[in-house]
Amino acid sequence: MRNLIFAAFLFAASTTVLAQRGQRGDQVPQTPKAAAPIDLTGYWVSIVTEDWRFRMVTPPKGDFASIPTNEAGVAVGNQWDPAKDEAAGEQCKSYGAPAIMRVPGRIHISWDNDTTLKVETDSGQQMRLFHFGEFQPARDPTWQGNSTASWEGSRPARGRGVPASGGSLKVVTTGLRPGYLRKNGYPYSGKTTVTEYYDHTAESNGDSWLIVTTIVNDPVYLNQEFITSTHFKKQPDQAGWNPQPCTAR
Amino acid sequence: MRSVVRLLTFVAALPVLASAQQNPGLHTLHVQGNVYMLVGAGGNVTVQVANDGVLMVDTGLAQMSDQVLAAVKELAKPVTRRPIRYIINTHVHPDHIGGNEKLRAAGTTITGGNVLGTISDATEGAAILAHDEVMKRMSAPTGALAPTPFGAWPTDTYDGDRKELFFNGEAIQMFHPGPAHTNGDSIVFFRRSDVVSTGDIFVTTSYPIIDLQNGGSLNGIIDALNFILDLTIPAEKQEGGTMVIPGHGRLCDEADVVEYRDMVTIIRDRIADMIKKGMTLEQVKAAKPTRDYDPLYGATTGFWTTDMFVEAAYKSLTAKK
Repeated sequence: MRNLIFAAFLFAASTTVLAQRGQRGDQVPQTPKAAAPIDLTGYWVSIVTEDWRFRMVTPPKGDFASIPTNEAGVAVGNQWDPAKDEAAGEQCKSYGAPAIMRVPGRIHISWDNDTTLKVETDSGQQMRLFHFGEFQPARDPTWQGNSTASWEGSRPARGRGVPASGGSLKVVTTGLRPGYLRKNGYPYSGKTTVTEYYDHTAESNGDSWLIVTTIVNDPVYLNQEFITSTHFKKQPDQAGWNPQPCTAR
Repeated sequence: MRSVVRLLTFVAALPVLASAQQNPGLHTLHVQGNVYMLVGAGGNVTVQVANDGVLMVDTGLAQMSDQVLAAVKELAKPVTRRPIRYIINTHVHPDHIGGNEKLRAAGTTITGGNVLGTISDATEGAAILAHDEVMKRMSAPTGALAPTPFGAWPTDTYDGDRKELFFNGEAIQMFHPGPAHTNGDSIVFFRRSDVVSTGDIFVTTSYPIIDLQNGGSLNGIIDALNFILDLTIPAEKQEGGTMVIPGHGRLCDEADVVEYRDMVTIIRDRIADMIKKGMTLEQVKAAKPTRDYDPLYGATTGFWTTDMFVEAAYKSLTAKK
């Protein structure tokens, strides 16, 4: 008899749990904006603590150090002619998605809508759109390509009082118009895929940092993946925002 | 006014010109503080000169001993009448210890009190300091033939990760970073002059030389380069500050070591990734993991070629621990 009562209790309890799950399942899912485990919005300035000689100045022709080059890439890179790019109106070749985050300057991150995160740069005045979920990709290749975004490794918000925490933003970009991985003309092809992880840290002194890990995979011009991590520091406001056009030199 | 400046420049350059004439092929460069650099004797030679005498880091090739000694005397002449007191060896290779015997014989060890009175030859020759592994490789057990003459051997070794001395009003630290270029490397830090002498852990003329036979390690070189970066502090705009004398090549500062460390790390990671993918040594060589750095550090002929570096790196990364 005792066993029967216990079994009936278990059945009742499991039914209640299932019912509760069902109720939760009926809830409207959170938008990517509402579910964001980290807040990346605001103005950020790039802090150049490495690769100074590649980022702060245009390196000499043929200096491709640190890029996992292949023969085809070196051959194309050695043909670099900025005057030709200027004449063709292609000054933005080194401002495409595989390279733009390494360009020193400020970036402004904001939500374009509930499912699209927007990144604007003052250097080169580029705009990137990170789409969560399905979207209509551009038909023709562009400097910034088509980017799909997802939150990764985070603990989502649970009910009241338990905010989302940790995690990073993953962005995968394809559909790129061929350009330069480095300002001195090392190329990337239209078959390039860029995978990025955006991580955020909050320091005890109040500083807020954005670390962008960029993995460039180009089967045409790279021997291996080209991986960099780029640091940005949060700015209190848009002071210093200084839009500048692309330059080829 | 311009003529006066020219004249002063010429007069200031006279000692250097004289030195160059007496020691063809050997160049003397004042680094900072009491520290100088001799270039052209094989490996770079570091010389600290002040009132108490001379301390040298490495002694170059044996066949350059006379020129090195002449250059050291030239440097010491206006500063002190005291001789070479200490020689520090950064590692065991002949382009760094070759002059030990002759330069030691030209110096005198600092002793005093009872030692001086009871042991007649206690002051004979400068003291040679090195890591214990250097001594092991230069000497041989009793009865066996040693690879180097007795007079070239270290007189004072250390076994831990550091040794220190105070000379010419300056604290000098020797650090053993563990297996790197060899397993007996020392990095020498002149604290007052703010100069680091690295031996062949850091060179500007080639990819890092990993002497596997003498216990070298690629990861150890990266660790040692990071250690050097812990010692160095750049001045304004990341230039200058602590100066770094490499085992071979030009005088450097922290930024140069950073670039080199980055290069070694990037290539290490590439080769490690290829090993992880199951690539053989020949496949790794064919993939040219160093291609982008070859214009700066690569060589197809000579003592240390790119192929030899890739092979040593591969073997170091695949060696059983």
